[in-house]
Amino acid sequence: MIKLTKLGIVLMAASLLSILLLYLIGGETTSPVPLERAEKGNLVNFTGLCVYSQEGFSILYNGKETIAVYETLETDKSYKIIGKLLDESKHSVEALEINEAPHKVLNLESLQGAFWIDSSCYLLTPQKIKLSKCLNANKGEKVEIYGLFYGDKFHVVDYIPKGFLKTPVDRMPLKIKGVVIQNITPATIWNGSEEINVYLPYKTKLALGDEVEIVGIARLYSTLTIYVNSPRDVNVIGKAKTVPIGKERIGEIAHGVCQVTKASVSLSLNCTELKLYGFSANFGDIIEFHSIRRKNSLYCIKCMVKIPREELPNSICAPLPNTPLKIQGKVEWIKRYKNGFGLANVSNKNCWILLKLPKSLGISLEVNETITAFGFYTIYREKPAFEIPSRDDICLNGSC
Amino acid sequence: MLKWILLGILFGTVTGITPALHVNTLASIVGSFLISPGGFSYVVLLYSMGLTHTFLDAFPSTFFGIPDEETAVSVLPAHKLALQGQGLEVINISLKASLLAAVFSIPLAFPYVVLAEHYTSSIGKVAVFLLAFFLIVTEKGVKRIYATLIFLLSGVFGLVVDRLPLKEPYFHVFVGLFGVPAIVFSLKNNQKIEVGNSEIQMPKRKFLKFSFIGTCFGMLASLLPTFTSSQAALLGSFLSKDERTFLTIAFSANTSNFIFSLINFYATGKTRNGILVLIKDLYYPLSSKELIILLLATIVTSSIVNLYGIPLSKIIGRAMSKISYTTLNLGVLLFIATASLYFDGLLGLAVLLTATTIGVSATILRVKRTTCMGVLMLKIMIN
Repeated sequence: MIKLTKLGIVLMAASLLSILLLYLIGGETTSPVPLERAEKGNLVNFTGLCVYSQEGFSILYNGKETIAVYETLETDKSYKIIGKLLDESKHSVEALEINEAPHKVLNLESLQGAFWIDSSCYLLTPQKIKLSKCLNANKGEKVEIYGLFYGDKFHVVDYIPKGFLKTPVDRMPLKIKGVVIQNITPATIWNGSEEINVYLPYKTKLALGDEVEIVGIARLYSTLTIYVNSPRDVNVIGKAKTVPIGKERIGEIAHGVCQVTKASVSLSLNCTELKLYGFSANFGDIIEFHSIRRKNSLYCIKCMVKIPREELPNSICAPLPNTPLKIQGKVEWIKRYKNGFGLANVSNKNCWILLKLPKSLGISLEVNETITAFGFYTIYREKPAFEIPSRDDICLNGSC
Repeated sequence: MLKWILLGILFGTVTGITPALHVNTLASIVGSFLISPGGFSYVVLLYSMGLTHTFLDAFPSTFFGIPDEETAVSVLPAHKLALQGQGLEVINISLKASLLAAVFSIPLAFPYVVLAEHYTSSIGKVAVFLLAFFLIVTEKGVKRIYATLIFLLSGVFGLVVDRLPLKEPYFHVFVGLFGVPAIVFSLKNNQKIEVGNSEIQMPKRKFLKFSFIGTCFGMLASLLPTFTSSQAALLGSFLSKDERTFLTIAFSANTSNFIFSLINFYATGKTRNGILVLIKDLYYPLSSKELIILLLATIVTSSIVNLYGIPLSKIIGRAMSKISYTTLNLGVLLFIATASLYFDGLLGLAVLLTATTIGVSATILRVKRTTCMGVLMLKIMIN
């Protein structure tokens, strides 16, 4: 029994020596070889980028060859693997030593483009290249990236952010800053030198006069056009400057109190040659407005009638030329010419004025009727006269 | 479909009864003939082949004492019973335990899918640690020290072998650790192998119970990567008291491991054996309908193999019984040495000899030979 135990111990010692010998033989005969020269069972030395990893399984790629190892590695990190080639055709390797390796030992590709986030992270060159991970760069920012293509992705190892593009390039991201001067679709932004059309994401709205920063994909049509794909890419950073009417420039908010000299689709005012859109008032009303200055017009942001024309003084006795006026009085007599043109003498007992009634207005008055009319003072055959712009600018017996 | 199942059974039978021909080896040979991408028929063929192999790989370990990675720990009790003239009973235990494992696996497939999705590698590591601990502490007195030494020696051996440029390292390692010592120690027996009676000498209830336990261990083995059904059977060795119960656990664990590996592959895409690696290359992923077809193929294959397994073993066993056991053993040793040389030259032979020395010392020191599974366990523990 003791003899057998001794034999057992001797055999264990012999095994240990044998293992040591195998270790030494292994060390001598098995210096790792590159993958392309390796056969099944050979030790291989492979440095590659981890391009796929799941629990207990990873794939490494060096730009030319791929190996699979049954270890959990971190994607987009470089590893030096010494392991045994288990299968020549599939390049599966039983890893014996795994060490992180510096990226510079890999033959990395470099790409330039703009970082972009959509359903995933991309590089736009402007071709859309899917990235293995998102970069710590601003969306739309120019970047130089280093890594390897594997499958449908570019595996990013390193990158250098290079700021936003200064001039627009077709199909590339562009960051613009300006004031909203039109908020329909497409919205129009004035960036200080040109109008830019912006197609916003669904249900995203901008207010007129907002100062905004927008990132989107530029298209160089006759007008620079930006397509925005996420509401997060639209940032309101302030409000446009407000200046008194007459001193405004495009993209600024003009403020003033003026009288309407003509009312149609737009309003003509007595304080500016520009027409005011987006608000309706009557001829002669005095309005207060805040409006955004566009290229050739003003657009109402906040407007109100400050003094309705009905509250203007009766100017029948002291009419001023070139100013919208109100006259009120009784019709003394009416004269109608053959060509349809008519004249009505309106008097408040102290003063009188001739009211011109062109056929086109289609107004018929009667003697002793009380009227209120809004219009301009004029001269007819050297006599004081009054002309009204439209049929709506006269009220008969208090009914307008 | 039946044509592909039958073809798979035919190939699986060849790999099952041939010593040292692992099913993965045949899978690679078959794989090289398949036109990629293959259809579902190839999946059926490969799966039936692998499944049949798990029913019949008891044959070489029983009659020749040559194990592979999956049957390493069952070689000793199987070979022992074969020497007692109960070889056919061992084959019958393998066939019936495997059939029961197939039957039990099907209802267990549904909870298994949930389990497979929650498995993490740290769970596997803890399981291996516990197993190693139990292997050593269940020895008595000074044998605990010997067991620890054998475990460490096997483990270090496994680590060194990993660094050697060997094409078939597991052949040298497992045949050396488990097969050759069994043959060496039976060389002095000049008796002839008697195939004996196929009747299983165990109450039916007990057989059912241990088959179910084995099925559960096989389920565990399929969850834990690098955890073979041999290691799962080791767990069973703590519950079994004789060779027959141990073999029941080991054989059912081997088959259920294969079936659950398929279900794991369906649920998580993880490949736990060579057959599944080949299937993944040809046809992935599997649909629920295809999984059900494969589970039905499991029942068909298991039933067919059970029909001819015993008669086939009788024919081969009777042919073998005409040869002197010593001559047979010497022939097997020569075959093993030649195979080692063929696969990996002198280095392969050196590994075989080292493994044999460790296996023999474990036998001499009367330590559970399963302790030699440290060859796989230590590297899992330190990784």
